[in-house]
Amino acid sequence: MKAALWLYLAFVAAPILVIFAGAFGETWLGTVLPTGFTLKWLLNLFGEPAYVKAFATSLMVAATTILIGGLLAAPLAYVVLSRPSRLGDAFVRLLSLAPLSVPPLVLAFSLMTAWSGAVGSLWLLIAGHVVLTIPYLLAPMIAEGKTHDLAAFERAGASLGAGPLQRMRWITVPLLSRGVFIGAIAAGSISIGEFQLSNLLAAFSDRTYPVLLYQAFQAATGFACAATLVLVLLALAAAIAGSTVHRASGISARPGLAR
Amino acid sequence: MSLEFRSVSYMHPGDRSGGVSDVSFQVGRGELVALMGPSGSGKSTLLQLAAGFLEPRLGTIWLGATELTRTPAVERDFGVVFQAYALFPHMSIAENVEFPLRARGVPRLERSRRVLETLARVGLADLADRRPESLSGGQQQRAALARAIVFDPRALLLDEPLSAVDGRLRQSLRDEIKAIQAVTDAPCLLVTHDAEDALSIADRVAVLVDGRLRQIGTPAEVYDRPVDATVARFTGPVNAIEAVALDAHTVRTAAGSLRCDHGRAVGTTMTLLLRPERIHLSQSPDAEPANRLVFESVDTVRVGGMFESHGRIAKLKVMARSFERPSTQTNWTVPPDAIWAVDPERFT
Repeated sequence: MKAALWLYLAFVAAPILVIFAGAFGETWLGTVLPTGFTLKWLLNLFGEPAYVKAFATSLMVAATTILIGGLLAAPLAYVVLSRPSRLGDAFVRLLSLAPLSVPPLVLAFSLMTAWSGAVGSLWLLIAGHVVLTIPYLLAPMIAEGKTHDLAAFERAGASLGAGPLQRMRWITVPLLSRGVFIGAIAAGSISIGEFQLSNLLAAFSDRTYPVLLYQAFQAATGFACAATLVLVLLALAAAIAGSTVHRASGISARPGLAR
Repeated sequence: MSLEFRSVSYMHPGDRSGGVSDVSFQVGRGELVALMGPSGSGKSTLLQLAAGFLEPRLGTIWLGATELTRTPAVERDFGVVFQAYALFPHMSIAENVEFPLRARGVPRLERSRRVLETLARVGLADLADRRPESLSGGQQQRAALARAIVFDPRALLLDEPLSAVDGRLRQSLRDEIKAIQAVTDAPCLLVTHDAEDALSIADRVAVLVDGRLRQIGTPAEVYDRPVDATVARFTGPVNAIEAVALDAHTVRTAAGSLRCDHGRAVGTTMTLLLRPERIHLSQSPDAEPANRLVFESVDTVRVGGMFESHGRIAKLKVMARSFERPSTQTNWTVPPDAIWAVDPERFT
């Protein structure tokens, strides 16, 4: 059992370590690991406008995806939580499962067919990302809300004299904030790393980072590793942020009452 | 001001149980009325109607001369203690208690003064900064009570406030609710399925069966003079005995003829209700002239300081409670005033 766990960890960690090694290795020809140490690949990367621009595009697409997806998911989660019904549950399950069961490639092709005029527009790409990521936004919000019996807290808040806006600010949002945060990290990570939709839907000038990355691996390995490293670090940051949010939410969720 | 239900009816959509129909009663100023009934009798529904979480289909709800039937919960100014307390988990106890004051825009200094005062009143001053999850059930219950009274509500509604605690704690919380309620003028409605809670805490008890108000009265009235056998059974153990009037003071039963002042015409059938603790073991066979009976004990168990015996008087099955353990054949007397006659149960 223990051995299997270590084997698995090694399997997961090895590619990441190789990426690190490749990004800082001077030459990598015919050896298991590269030799020498250099920062030139990273410097090259930052000096390459196409990559900087693609990274900015990726961040913009991810941020917009989270924003739009969040604006769609939050009211949906709220309705499902505050008015529990079997129909609502079924609807949310469908909405959550459908994008997971449809391969992104299929989604890309259907989007291209349905909105052929808009292919190459950034908005179509964002729309595709929203569809793809909305289950990841919705699920943690609903899970968070269900641990709390939001409907009961809503009633309690109302009986204590808090109007709908006060209840939203002091009860619903703080209680759901952890779910929102975890959902946003998941959706952002998926959007930034998404390749299939981006490769097919984005215009040349709007290529996202993974699309360029794919092309980089066909050129110099060290450069490609450096380019990948950026994503690895981003993912690590997201994972750390996601795992510490449990503690943080306790404080941030406080409505700031006077002592 | 009093809280009043006038012919209130409500039916849960798609659910036949838990509704109420044509319920009318009043909770007076400073009065505590316990709403009691089996589960599904509609008692919680009635509380939710009072709180404004539900709207009656028919009838009206009043506070003094003001009609509240369609007033939303936010505007009712009623303190509600929920069954699961519903303390906000992301706030400290002090912040929870402060919540209704904040919602009302009470200035900060005034707020903290009243929060501290109220927490002290329920004995939670030391736990003000703790989160609800770190408190015991009894402490959470007190916190919920503090939150419901801190804004001087116009009425106090308690939904099964004691269902999550038991034993001695239950009794002390009962006393505390009573003590807090005693100093407020607000009408107080308490929902419980526990007869002991209801009878010990309430000024008056309302018994709800199948969504209808069967009886409302003081604990003594409801316990000693129930309107029917259902109410009697719900308020405590009781012997229900079929009887026919021989004259206004005598009835014939399976246990022979008994004396009781039922006041019904000759030949009328009725149900006699007899609380097991009102049956006495007689000291000597000739001590009591009326209703001396030979009780044949079949099974005796100890219940606290008393003995509960199941057995027979002639052909009638009877349960009795006594301080002394009865032998297999004992002489018992039933004082005529211990027998309460009601109309016979209709079995449908």
